[in-house]
Amino acid sequence: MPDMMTALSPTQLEREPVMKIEGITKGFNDRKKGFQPVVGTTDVDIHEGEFITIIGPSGCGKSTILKMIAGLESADEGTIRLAGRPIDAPSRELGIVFQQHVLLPWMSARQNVIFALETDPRTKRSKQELASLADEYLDLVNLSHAADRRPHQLSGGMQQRVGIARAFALEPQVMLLDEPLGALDALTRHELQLQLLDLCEKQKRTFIMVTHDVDEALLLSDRILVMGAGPSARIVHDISVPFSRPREVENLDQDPAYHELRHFLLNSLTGH
Amino acid sequence: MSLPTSTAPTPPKDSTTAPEALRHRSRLQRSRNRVRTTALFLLFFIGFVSVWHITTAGLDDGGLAPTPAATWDRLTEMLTDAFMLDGPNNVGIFYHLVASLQRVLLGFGLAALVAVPLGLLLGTSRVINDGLDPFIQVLRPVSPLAWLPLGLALLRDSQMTAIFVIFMAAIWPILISTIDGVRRVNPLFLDLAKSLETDTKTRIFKVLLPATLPAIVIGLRTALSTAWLVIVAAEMIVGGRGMGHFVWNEWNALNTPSIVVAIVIIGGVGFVLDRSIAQLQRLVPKA
Ligand SMILES: Nc1ncnc2c1ncn2[C@@H]1O[C@H](COP(=O)(O)OP(=O)(O)OP(=O)(O)O)[C@@H](O)[C@H]1O
Ligand SMILES: [Mg+2]
Repeated sequence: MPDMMTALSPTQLEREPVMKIEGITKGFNDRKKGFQPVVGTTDVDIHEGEFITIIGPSGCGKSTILKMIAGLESADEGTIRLAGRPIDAPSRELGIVFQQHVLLPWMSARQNVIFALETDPRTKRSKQELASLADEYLDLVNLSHAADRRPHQLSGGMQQRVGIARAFALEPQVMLLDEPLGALDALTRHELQLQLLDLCEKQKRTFIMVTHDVDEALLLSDRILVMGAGPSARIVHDISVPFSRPREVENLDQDPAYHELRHFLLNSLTGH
Repeated sequence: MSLPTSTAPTPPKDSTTAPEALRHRSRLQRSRNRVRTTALFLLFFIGFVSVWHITTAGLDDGGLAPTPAATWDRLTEMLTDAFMLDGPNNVGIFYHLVASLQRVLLGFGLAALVAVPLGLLLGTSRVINDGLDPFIQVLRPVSPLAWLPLGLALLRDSQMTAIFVIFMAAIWPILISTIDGVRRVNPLFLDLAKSLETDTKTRIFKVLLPATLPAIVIGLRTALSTAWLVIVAAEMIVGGRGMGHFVWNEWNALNTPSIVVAIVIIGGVGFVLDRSIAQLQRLVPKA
């Protein structure tokens, strides 16, 4: 099947999902207002190799969901399972790219990637192996030339690319990206979107990404989960993105289905 | 002062196209400023010595007030005899200085060894911190000299007591600054460390400590200058060798020019100490 129009192949549907989110809820205690529910009951099945995007109004709880998946926050109710096992702590199987860059400022770009690699308790690698592996992943995001620079010597877009390279270097089962391009200008963002598209088509992985950007969501994902407004925000739409891969921006732009979906998403975000 | 000469210095590698004339003018401006500050300094210095001379020379007090001339004589004398070792109680100023520096560096080093790990612990653990905080808040405002009699009573050794007093003087700035530094560490760095499943050792030495280092260095700097302030007073009491003891001895001998010389030396060494630890700040990675 060279031109598959469905996001999920039959084999994927039959297989066990790599991640099962079952009935999770989350709220925070506010000193004045008491308990504030943020995430309402949420169930999602995520299959291996899927690129999932969570989209929704600001403050609805997207980052909170991603943090629960990452094991950095615990859910009040429900469970999240990764390959059958419940997630109760952060794990290297979940590579995170944060909303703002989180590079250690006293290390170069390369050392930041090496740090993620060398802390792996399962595999011991030699210094040379670590360095060449780090360079490989930096090359993946076109940053070989800046490997020796410190974070403050990198532009915002470059910093995020180092963060992406670091998350890839972990070779996690699932990549979690919290608005990885949100803090960038439109031009850089578009450039990195294309890079990310290229990257995820080359390196078949499971992705869960949070974004505000409808075009970004449509360009990259196989499935888009639209969250409603809080409190107790839930997923209101679960949309399969039918465009074939590899994707090209020009092709998408000429596809009436693209504009229809785009319109639908924009409307559901603005509350129609 | 380097006045611009005919040999033009080679421009730096990444030289922009800034006109040579402009750069030349700014260099000229800088050397002119340097001439001005030096002239002003000399003027102040001469004025100060003159006033000093007028107020002290010919004063009918049995030569108690130190005159500039007597002080100058004493300075040359003390410098020529700096390395004198004439019996245990009659030694040159160099040995007094070394004794003071030894106590300060020992007490300061011990304080750093205790305060940095303790600060890291208290900064990370809210519970332990809240339990210990009352102790810190009550002990911190106490003058380190108040510990001196207790030190003498418990340690029964003047040398150890002086080091103990310096320890008590130096520990608080390092502790407070370290705790504060840990609290200011970007919480996302800790999230990152957790998501990489790093062990506690890596988390402390590869993430927490480097991120806190700038704050620790600030604490060390404050602590060292406090220690240098306190040592003089402590040595006046505990005796033995040391700058404080020297000052007190000279006072008992009514030898005031020596005291002026000692003050200048104490100030100069304090300045050097502060500058050298400030160099540490440069080694600290930029955040
Ligand atoms: N640690 C916390 N303590 C208290 N309230 C929190 C905490 N973290 C998040 N919240 C609240 O939960 C809600 C959702 O936050 P979250 O960061 O998940 O939103 P978001 O959808 O990621 O928003 P954005 O698109 O702006 O990033 C917000 O109202 C926020 O104030
Ligand atoms: Mg967010």
